[in-house]
Parts: sequence; structure tokens; C-alpha cells
Amino acid sequence: MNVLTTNGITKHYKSVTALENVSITVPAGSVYGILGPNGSGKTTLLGIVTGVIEATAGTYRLLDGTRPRHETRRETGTLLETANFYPYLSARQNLEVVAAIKRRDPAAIPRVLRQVDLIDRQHDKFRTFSLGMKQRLAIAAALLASPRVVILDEPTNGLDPEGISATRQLIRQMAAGGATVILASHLLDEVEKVCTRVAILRKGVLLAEGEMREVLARHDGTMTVEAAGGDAARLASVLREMNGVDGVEVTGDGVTIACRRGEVTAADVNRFCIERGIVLERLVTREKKLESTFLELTR
Amino acid sequence: MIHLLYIEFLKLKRNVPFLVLVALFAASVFGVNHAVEEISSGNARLGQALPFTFPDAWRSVAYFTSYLLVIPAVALVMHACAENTYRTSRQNVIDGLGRDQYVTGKVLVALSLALLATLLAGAAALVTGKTGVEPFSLAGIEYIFYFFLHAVMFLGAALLLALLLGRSAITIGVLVVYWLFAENVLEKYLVKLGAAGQLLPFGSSEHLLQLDAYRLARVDETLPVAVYIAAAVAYVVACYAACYWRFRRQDP
Repeated sequence: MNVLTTNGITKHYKSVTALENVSITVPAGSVYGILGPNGSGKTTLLGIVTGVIEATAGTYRLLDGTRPRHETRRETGTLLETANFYPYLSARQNLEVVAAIKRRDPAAIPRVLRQVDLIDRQHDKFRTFSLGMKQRLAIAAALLASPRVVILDEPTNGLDPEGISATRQLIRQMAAGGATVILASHLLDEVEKVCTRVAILRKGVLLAEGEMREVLARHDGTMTVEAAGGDAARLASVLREMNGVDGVEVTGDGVTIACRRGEVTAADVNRFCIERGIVLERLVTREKKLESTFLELTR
Repeated sequence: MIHLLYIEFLKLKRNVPFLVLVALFAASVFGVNHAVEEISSGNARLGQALPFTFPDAWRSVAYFTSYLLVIPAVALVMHACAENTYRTSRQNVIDGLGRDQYVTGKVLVALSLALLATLLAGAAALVTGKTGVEPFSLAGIEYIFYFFLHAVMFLGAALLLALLLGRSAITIGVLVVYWLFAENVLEKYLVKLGAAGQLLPFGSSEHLLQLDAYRLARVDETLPVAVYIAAAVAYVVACYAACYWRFRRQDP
């Protein structure tokens, strides 16, 4: 079952095209990353599915799609860009407003404040909060409805390393609890660490979408193998003769081999070396990082 | 409806500027009417007394209180514009409020303020009327209804401007300039075309309340009361409908 399906979403701002025919599918229970450089349309896409931006064309379905959209939004927890709260109200009073809108029992407020470590500041006014605390309160508001879908747009903005780590932990906990998490970020490391599926946007166009491994494999023509055994210079000269190997470089006591994915495997390298009397002491395949795929796609 | 009003209550219960303005308005309704009555009774010896005894008390209080409606209008504008400034209107929609529900919440605040103003005006008329020599009378209480209509119109216009302009200072400036100057100038020119010139947005309901002593010399004829009421109701409907139209069209 999919919790979100967009079909040909397009958004124009006068002459600027923010999104062009974007279709994505978010399966239930996944941690879905939306990646893209600044201005790629991530927030616009999330703004459309959270009801604050009207799409120029296209349709979307959030959750079952049978009820009015504002009702389905009550079952989602959303942090879009920045934390928006009433500055003259305390953290608790702000969450009371959110609970009333979502028609949830305000008794859940202490639980979510504890989750984001703001319980001691619950009676302090929002205007006195630091950027990180504001962000944490927004995450608390997103958690308030025990949501089936959590939409987080740059959730670690303004957080210190401890806060970033805690947020990642929270995302994993939500996913483990059965919630679907949609995470928009330009922090590739963040997405790679927590997401199972990914969509990559550039200038409003969807460049790639699917399981993280699939996307990496589909857009990655090369692979790196690190090997060591005996004399590194001799190993390098032997491996340069192997079919499918594009280049060999001596690195420390071993070599780094650049080869074409699908044509050469680590086992092939090992067999090739044994046949030539070289016993490898180390053989490691390096998967391509999301960062390099992203840069390749968005360049 | 009640739930939407409850959400607005949660937002407003700690909004100090809003509460101060409402309290100031409540005090002003009694204070200003009492002051005008005092000054007027001082002039009574000169034969220029304004009627603050029954049955005219209803009309007099409604008329003077109508000038104080700018105070709750400012409170409403500040509340509506703050939602825009803090982007909480956007957050409310994200959290699950429909766009129409969001506007309905604001409309309910406007109507509540209009109702509060009407109750205060009625109470002030009772107090000032009681101090007069004439016995209590409900004759002329329809002016309190006209006052309610005027308050709904005035606050609706303030809300519409707040949704259109989004900034408190600009909205209050435009509202006051239009109400005090622009519409009067416009009326002056339109009256040349006939009595229909009296049917401007604020003018329609203001004419229902105007004391004979303050009727503009330039207005040669007045229209039947039903015409003013119909025009005022039409403006009220148009104004509130425009609030919904505006919020549906704009991205909060």
C-alpha cells in the first residue's frame, strides 16, 4: 500500500517552473528521502501535498484519499521548512492549539515534549526558544497525532550535532513504530543514513526515484575494488591486463581498481590474481556513495 | 463551528494586546457614552441636549458607540495579520485545518466581537437610559440591531483588508483612511447622482444610526430604512464571501 502518490504534479510561478510533471510513490512503512539542491522543488512538492500550495496541474493522493484532504492532514505530522508557532504562547499552549486542530487528546503533550527533551521548558514562551529548540518543538508537534505519515523538510536545520543525532534516532524510531517518514533534505549523509527509498529532484524535474540501492546502481556505471597481496606494483601491473578494468592505482600497500559495474566482480578479481600466482590478503568492494550519484545526476 | 471558535480561543486567551484592546473597548463604550451624556446635559440649558433618555437612548448610544468599533477592528486586524507574520496560518492548514475552516475561525472572532460590542452598547444604553427621567422603554431598540449590522460590516471589512494586505500597520492605515476620509469624500461626490450615493459600504449602515442632529446638510433626502438594511446586508455578504475567496486563492 502506498501512503502518497503524486501524478504529474506541476507548479508554475508566473514564468518560473518550480515542478514539472513529478510523479512519485511512497510505500507505507518506508523512510523516503527527497533530495535536491536548493531551489530544486523539494519544499514546493511537500507544500502541495500538505495543502499550502496549489498545484498548477497534476493530482496527488495522501493516505487513502477517500476523505477531505484536510482530514487526512490531521493524521500526518509535518514540519515544513521552519517551525511556525505563536510567539506569545508557551510550548505547551502551542501544542494545545495543534492538538485542537488535529482533534487529539492534549494529554499526549507531555509525552511528545519528553521525546524531544523540552518537558522542562514546556511553560516557557516560544519566543524565548533557541533555533534548535524551536525545531524540536516542531518535531514534537509533528509527533502529537501519533501520525501514520511524518513529513519532515530539513528537520535538522539549526540543530547541534547532538540534536541532529537525536533527530535521526527519532526518525528511525518512528519508522520502526510503523510510520512512513518522508524526509526532504540537501544533506546527503542524512538521507543515506536513514532512508530506504529516494527521489532526486533538480530544477523541478524528477531525475531518479526508487529504492536507494536501485537508484545507486541504476545511475552508477563504475565500481571500486581495493585489493592487497604481495608487491603492490606487481599486483597493479597484473590487474591492468584484466578485461573490464578501466584503471589501477597503487594506494599504500595495495591497489585501487576502477572497473565497470556488471562486468567485473570481486570474485573475478580474486580468480584472475590466483591464476597468475598472486594470493590476495585483502579484497574490498567499495559501493558508490549517494553523494557521488547525486552530484552526477544534478550536475 | 464551536470547535473552530475554541481553536481561536486557545490562540487568543494569552494574546495580551488583543485582550487589552477588548478591555479598552468595553471601558470606552461606557466611558465615552457617559462623557457625551454629561457634556450633553451641560448643554441642555442651551437647548442642545442629545437624547440619552428612553426611548432615544438606544439610538444615541448605538451612534456614539459605532465610532468606537475601530478598537475591536484593530484587535481583529492585529490577530489576523499576526497569523500571516508568524506563518501560523500556513501551519494551521498543514496541521489539518481546511482553508475555509481557517477563515471561518476568523469570521467567528469577528462575529463574536460584533456581538460583544452590541451587548455592551445595549448595556450602556440601559445604564444611560436609566439615569434619565423617562421610564424604561424598548421603543427604538431596533437601533441596537442596526448597530450589530454596522459592527458586522465594519469588522468584516477589517478582516477582509487584513487578509488582503497581511500587515497590521498598513491594514489599520487603509481602514481608517477609507472610513474617516475616503468614503466621506466619495459620498460627497456620489450624492450629486442622487440618494444612492449614501449606499457606500460603511455609509449604508452608518445612515441607519445617524442622529438627526448630525445628518449631513448635503444629504437632501434619505432612503427608506429597508434600502439601507438591504445594502448593508449585501455588503456584509460580499465582504465575508471575499474573505473566503481570498484565502482559497492565496497560498497561506
